[in-house]
Amino acid sequence: MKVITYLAFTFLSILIQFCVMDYIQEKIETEEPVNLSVTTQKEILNDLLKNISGKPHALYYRTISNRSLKNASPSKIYNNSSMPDISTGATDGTTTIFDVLYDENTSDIEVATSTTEMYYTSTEYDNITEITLFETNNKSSSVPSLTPKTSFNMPCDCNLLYKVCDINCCCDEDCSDIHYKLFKCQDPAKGDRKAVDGCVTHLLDEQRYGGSMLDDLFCIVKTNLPSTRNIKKYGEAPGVYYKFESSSQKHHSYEFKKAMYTQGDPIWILKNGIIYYLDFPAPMMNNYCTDRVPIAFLKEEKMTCNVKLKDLEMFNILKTSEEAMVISATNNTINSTALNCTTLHCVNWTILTCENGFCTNYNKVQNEASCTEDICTNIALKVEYEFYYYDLKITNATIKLHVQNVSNALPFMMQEVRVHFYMSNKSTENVIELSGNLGYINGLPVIASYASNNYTDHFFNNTTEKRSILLPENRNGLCVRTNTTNNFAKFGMNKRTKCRYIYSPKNKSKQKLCNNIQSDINELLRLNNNISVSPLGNPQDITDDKWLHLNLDKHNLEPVFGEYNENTLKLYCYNLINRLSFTFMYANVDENSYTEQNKILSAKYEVTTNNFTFSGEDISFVITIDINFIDLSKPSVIEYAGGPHLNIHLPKDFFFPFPQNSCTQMFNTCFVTICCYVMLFFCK
Amino acid sequence: MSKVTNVNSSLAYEILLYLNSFYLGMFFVCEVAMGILKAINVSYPENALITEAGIFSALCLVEVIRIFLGRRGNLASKKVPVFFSVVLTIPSAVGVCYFLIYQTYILRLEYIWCAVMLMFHALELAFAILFIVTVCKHQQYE
Repeated sequence: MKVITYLAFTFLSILIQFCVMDYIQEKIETEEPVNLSVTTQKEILNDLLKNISGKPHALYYRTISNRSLKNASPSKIYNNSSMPDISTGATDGTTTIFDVLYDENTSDIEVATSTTEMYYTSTEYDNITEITLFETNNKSSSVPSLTPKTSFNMPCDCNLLYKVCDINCCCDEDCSDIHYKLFKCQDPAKGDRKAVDGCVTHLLDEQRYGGSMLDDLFCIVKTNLPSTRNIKKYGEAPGVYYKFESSSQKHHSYEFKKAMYTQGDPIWILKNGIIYYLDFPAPMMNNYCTDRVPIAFLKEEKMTCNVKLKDLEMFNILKTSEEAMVISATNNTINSTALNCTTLHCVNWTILTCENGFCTNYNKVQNEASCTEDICTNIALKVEYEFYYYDLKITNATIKLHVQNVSNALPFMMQEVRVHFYMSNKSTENVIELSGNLGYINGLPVIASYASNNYTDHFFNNTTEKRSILLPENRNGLCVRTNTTNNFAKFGMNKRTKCRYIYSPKNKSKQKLCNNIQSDINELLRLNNNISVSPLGNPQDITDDKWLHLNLDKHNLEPVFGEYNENTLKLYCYNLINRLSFTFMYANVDENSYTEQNKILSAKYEVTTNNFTFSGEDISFVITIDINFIDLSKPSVIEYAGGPHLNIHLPKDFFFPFPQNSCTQMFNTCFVTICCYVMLFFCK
Repeated sequence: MSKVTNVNSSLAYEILLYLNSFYLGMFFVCEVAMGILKAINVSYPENALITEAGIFSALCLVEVIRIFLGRRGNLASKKVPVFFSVVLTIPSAVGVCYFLIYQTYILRLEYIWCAVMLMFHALELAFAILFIVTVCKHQQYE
């Protein structure tokens, strides 16, 4: 019987080895310190090879794990983060991109054909364009969604406004309980039930049995529901046919309930003692503005549609703003019968007219739209509504009219209407906007500092400081440098801007003209400034040494020189900078998060020079600015985990506990043989 | 010459079957009650509830036959009914596994009682095999 016991033990030990394999393997991996600097392809490959060579036996099983940055928790990553050197792979990547973009023989179209999405953002003037290349498909929008977002035990990735409550962000510490109630947030203490107790849902009444043992037993831990599809079912009765969507079905009747605003309520306006809701144009069937929809409280909107010049929303807005005021119900409103500004909180409209990013108060005399035979001036094709909600009422209602000149000949033009809400009483101009929390979110500006030190402090304290990489704008094909530019580097958006640079000489002297041109270009491209880039979308607690510095090594550039030929009246300039490239290498450091958590690992700043010949007074040439983002995130790899090393010291005679040199050896051998026979007999 | 009668019925197997018969009753009542509770509180995909009810009825039927054959064979020291009882353990265990893993909504309570049922199956299977071996070993030739 002893032998059978030992055989059973052996079998059990093998079983245990298999059972605990997973657990031990997991434990070993989590105990390993995560070092961000070990992210290069080579090192990962070495690690992988080490694991393969370290396998003790053939009992391998497949586990899917990410050996890149993705495994670690965000806090772990950010605390221990260090900027890795540009890996060999990364350098190759840069070189490839750089070569493609800088190859003189590569035309724009060729580059464009290799991309999935490309659009021209301005009309082409003499091959001077602005192209967005390789646009990332999985763009995250910074616009708050209607669904409240929560991220328990994680950085609050929806908190993008510094010291201002973000709409529908349930983990934003800047929000009060009133806000959380307004956003219909779940109680953070309870958290996600699935995350807390592993239940999908509970069968028993939560209020009655919540938290009890009975509630725990009656929880549905797993569902095997089939994947669902939304199929619009039409009746099978005869005579039923598909219909075009009717506009009458969409029009709900809204009634002012004298109650405070809740999410989704229309914004109310008071006009001549009557209360209306505020609406804005929207397309119904096609791209034309044939419908109007109400502006819903806390719902961000962006609508574009085609419209005739006379039907532009700006005219409607200007009329409305003169006659109506935005109202909010207060505690007094509920009991009162008369609805006027004594019982309601009324706010007058603030109308701003914005041109090239610079906004001023609307002046009817100066900023009124007017048309000549050919052109119309002060036409707002883009209109922004901004509502500031504070202390349970709308405290400010601002309309921004982005005016421009448009041709009178156009039968239709595309207008854009945006609606924003801010839970603040101060203007957004002074609100610091983050580009992610903590990592970058696609489409938001790359955070940069032009200061010499204390970049983080400058970012949060100095409100006048520029916080993004500003680029010259392309206005009618010409390069223009402004401080109010909207042309800045946005994370994840590869872009090429081409514009014509025209040098306006301050004096007629031809001496050092080429050097003066170069200085002017440096000024235009902001090459004289040292730029520092924040590795994360939220630069809080990032020390100066962690910021990435973009410095142009001017010593390595060929010196600018030139000559003016009086006979041919031509100016020859050598080594003038005509191309500028920003290359950012980034990685998604936590794919488990609600939004992407991208970290810029390195940033590069390169220029190329060219020789130019200028005839006469025309000193102009095309300048190209490229912004490239290279994703260094590693894809998930299948790894073969080795068997665990069980540190069990069994006695030498564990499997055959019979003395080797004793006189009973023969007897024991016989006994084992008999046992085997008995077992075989039973099997038969 | 006196006739020697060997009593080969396994006491442990008999105890298990006896307990299992009661447990099956409880399992049946609880599972039906739980099914009603689930049907009221959660929505089932088309035909899922009927399918589950059908599987459950079949499972109960198989279980009843299995326990009956097991007890009959054990008490009468006959290996054939016990052998069929062992054979029926397979569809029965598959049915319980369905409710443990593949049914539409799995409750924590169901995890517990299905696991207990499987434990009964495993133990009964072991003792049933042991019983068959014992019966084969002590075959009486008269």
